[in-house]
Amino acid sequence: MKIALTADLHLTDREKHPGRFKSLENILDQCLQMEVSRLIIAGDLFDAKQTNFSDFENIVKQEKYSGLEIHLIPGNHDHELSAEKISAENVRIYSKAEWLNLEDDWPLLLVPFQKGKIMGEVLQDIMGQSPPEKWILIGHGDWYHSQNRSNIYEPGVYMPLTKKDVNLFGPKFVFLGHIHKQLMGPQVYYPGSPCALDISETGYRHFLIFDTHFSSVEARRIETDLIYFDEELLVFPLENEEELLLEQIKQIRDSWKVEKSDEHKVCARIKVTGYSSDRSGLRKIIKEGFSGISFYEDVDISEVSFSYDPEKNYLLKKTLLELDILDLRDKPDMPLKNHILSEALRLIFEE
Amino acid sequence: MSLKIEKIDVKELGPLDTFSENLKQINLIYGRNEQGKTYLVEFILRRLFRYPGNFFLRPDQASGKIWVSGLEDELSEFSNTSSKKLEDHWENCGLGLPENMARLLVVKGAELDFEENKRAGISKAAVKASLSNEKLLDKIQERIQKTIRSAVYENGQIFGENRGNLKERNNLMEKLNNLDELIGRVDRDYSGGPVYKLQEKINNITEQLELLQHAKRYSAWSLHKKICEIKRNFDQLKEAGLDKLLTDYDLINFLNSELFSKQKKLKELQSESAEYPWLETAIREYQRLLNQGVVQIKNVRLYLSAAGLLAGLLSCGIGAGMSMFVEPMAGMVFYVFGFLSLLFGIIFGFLYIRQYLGARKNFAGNLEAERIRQTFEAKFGKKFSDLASLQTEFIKLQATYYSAKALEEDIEEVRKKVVEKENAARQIFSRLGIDPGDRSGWGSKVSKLHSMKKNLEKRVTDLELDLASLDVDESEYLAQEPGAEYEKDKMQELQNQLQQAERELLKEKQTLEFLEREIRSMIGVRETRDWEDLLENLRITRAETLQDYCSLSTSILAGIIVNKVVEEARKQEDEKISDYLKTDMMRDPLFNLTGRYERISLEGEKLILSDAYDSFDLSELSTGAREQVLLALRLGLAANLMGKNSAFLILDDAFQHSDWKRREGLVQNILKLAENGWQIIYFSMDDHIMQLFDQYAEGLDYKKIKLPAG
Repeated sequence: MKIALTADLHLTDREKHPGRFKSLENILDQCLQMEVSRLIIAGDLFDAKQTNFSDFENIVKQEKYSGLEIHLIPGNHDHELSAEKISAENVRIYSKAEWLNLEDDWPLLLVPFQKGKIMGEVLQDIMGQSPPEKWILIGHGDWYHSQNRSNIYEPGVYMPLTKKDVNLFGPKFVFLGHIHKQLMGPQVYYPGSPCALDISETGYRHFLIFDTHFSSVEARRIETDLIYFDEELLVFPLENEEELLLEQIKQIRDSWKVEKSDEHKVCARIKVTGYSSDRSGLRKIIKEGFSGISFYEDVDISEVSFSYDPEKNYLLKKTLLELDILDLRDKPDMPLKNHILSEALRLIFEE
Repeated sequence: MSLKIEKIDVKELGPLDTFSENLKQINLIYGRNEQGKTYLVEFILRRLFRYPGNFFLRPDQASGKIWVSGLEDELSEFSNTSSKKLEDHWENCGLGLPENMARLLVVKGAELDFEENKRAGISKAAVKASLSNEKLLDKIQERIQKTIRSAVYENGQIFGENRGNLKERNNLMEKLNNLDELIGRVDRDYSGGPVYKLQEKINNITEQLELLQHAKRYSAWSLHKKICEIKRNFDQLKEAGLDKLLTDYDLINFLNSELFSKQKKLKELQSESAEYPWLETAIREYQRLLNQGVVQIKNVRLYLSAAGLLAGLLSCGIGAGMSMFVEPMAGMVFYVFGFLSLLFGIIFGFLYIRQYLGARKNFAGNLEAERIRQTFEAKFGKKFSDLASLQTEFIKLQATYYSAKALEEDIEEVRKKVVEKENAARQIFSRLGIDPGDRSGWGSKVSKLHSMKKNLEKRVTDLELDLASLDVDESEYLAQEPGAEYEKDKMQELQNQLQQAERELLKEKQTLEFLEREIRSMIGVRETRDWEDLLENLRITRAETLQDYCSLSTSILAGIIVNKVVEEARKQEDEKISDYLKTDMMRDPLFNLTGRYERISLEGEKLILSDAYDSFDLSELSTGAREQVLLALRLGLAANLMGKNSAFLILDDAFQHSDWKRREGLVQNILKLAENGWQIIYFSMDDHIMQLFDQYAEGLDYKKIKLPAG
């Protein structure tokens, strides 16, 4: 059996944020295409203080989606969501932790966000003395084991789930909503926000397909109108400044892994730092390098200074050679080469 | 071929509306302050050089050109839009920093000024400062902390003294490790589950214990109730006289036993004193007989009389014999004694006879007395003598007789008592609902009652022990049935479980409290906060610490790398200068300017100049000679870069700060250069310099240009 999972749509009104509704429709359509009959939304379907749910209902009430069960878990933004607020028959809201038993399959425990509660307490409460041997946890909160989850939209720690909780209660899979960044296991998965809420949520957006039969989790791409990227370029005033800059841009574009047909959807915020011998021509070069995409705002070159000094350039070239052979050991607590280069630039070029 | 500026043509350059001049070999451009002299120098630098070196160039809107000869066959034109600059015509030596032609060919005021107190500093450093961009290297290195400069990066680690940024980084690394360890522990140890689970367990056990406690209190109440009931029944039995019955029964038995023994004793006493009444009567009768005159013949009198008579006769016979045969006197004694004995015998014989005569007078009485005597002797087996015989026996039996009498009375009393007790016992039997029946059946009945009493007492004791073992104060007795039965073992087991769970909970809570304290300490928060807040702050602290650590690592690594590059550049500069000093390129400008020295070499930090005969330390030369040497070095390097050719030399009031005597020598020196093909363009605001040029350049290819007053 396949189950679709998503979270953090933060729906408001269609007029205000059409992209979010489009993402939802795309997920629903993909469910139909794949003949997935269950979609679980792990919290924050609606943005905080959203009281008008008609735009959402207009979508899910469509005839084509009538065979699709939509299970809603309230999150920290829509924790006041209750069954009486949604009239669609194919939508079920879980205001408290509840088991969802699937025929001949592992039971799913759906845990809505509960203010002031920690996941372990809720689990203990619902699991009682005899937890099932195999089960799946779906909730809304923080997987504390993963520290890399900062998001301006979701400050604070909500309903933390610790490794101890997982070890203690032993869910085979955990699917959580809350952080808008995708996390693909092991054991704990976040689908990420299906529609970027701001420029910090970059790249393609996905929802998850969990195949209970094969115990596999697949991330499915969501068709969105916009794909955000937030990039920083470092420019140095060497003779081949333009060439180096274009090479850097190419590397960035390659790292996006955006298909050619989707490039027009890319909206990037570009910030440039460093020193240039031709500051006035920078924007032009960058825009050429990023041709085919749109810019979130004008390319920011406010932190680029002019410099043309062969002696400093000589030192910079030597520095680049040293950096090339610098072995940073891929350690997470070691800085990026670009940051070292940026600092080296400052040391050499600062007046 | 020498490089020469042939013409300068510029419009709207600062205060200068126009400047259009063809230049000669020696040129003095004279102007007061604010007449555009510096603008003009900057214009030349901007148009000719790609990079003006240490010169700060103000932006200009001027339009103009400079024509230079010596680069190509024709004049080379340098304007704002020229793509090629002078540097493009020369090649770098490839070692160290690229040479800066502007710095070599343009000399600013005071660069040649060596004051006396700087004499000791004239060395390789001074040469480097003049010929290369040592200042840049110094400036960059000054931005790098000393600790970082001495640090190295090897095998993914930064090594260096634990000071400054390195110390700060080490501290941050330690903090980061502590944070990671703490976060790991939170992840590993923190869960609401166990606390919640244990709390639930404790609540559950507590509920069960409360139920059992109620059951216990109820059990205590039940026991107490039973005890009371038994005691009440017991009291009723007591009131009915159970205890009295049991006591009296024993008493009755005792009395009966006593009665038996007393009766036995009485029989004995009665047997012993059976003749007492007879004696009493016999004595009374005998006394009466005696009172009636019945004499009781006392045979003693008879015997005494007989004995006296016999003794008298015997004594008289003996006296007579004595008197006759022995001594009359002795016979006399026997006569006296015999007489007295005869008298004694006669007296008693008289008394006996009188008694006998009286007895013969009361014969009936005597018969009676005889009968008494015979009875007496028959009863007692003793010889009856007289009343005394009776009295003696009487006295003998009197105590026994009265003892028997007393015992008899006593027995009677006991008997009465027994009867009384038995009657009472019968009543008690009746009150106890027991048919007293025959006295002989009382034993088993009393025995049963006794057993019953013992059993009741035992039951009460057992129940009281059970109650005591419950250890429930009477005020806590509970009459309401709790719906569960008190089980001591189960309660004990639950209490053990509760203690275990409480210990585990305490341990969990202590772990969490310890974690919480550590987190608060780590994030610098004193007051208690909820876990979500603490965890978020811990994460933020970790992120900030990591950022600070990475930022510092970035700064240190950049510093290490840049420092290494700078050090290498510095080393290469040293090598380059050292190599350069060894070349012949120095010879011409050095000899031309000094007129004496042919070679210059570096020995350690010292610059050694040599003429045909001797060698001298540069620092020991006069100021003028040192200025000549440094200018020669500058020109030599420039010539070297230009392929051994001479070039133009722009002096921007270079001698302004020299005293008048030295100015003369300097002017003469640069004019010597001009003679050797160098084009001299001297900018000055100084009348004395102008006079010196006018004086010494007269007759040479010399042009003086005065800038127009504004």
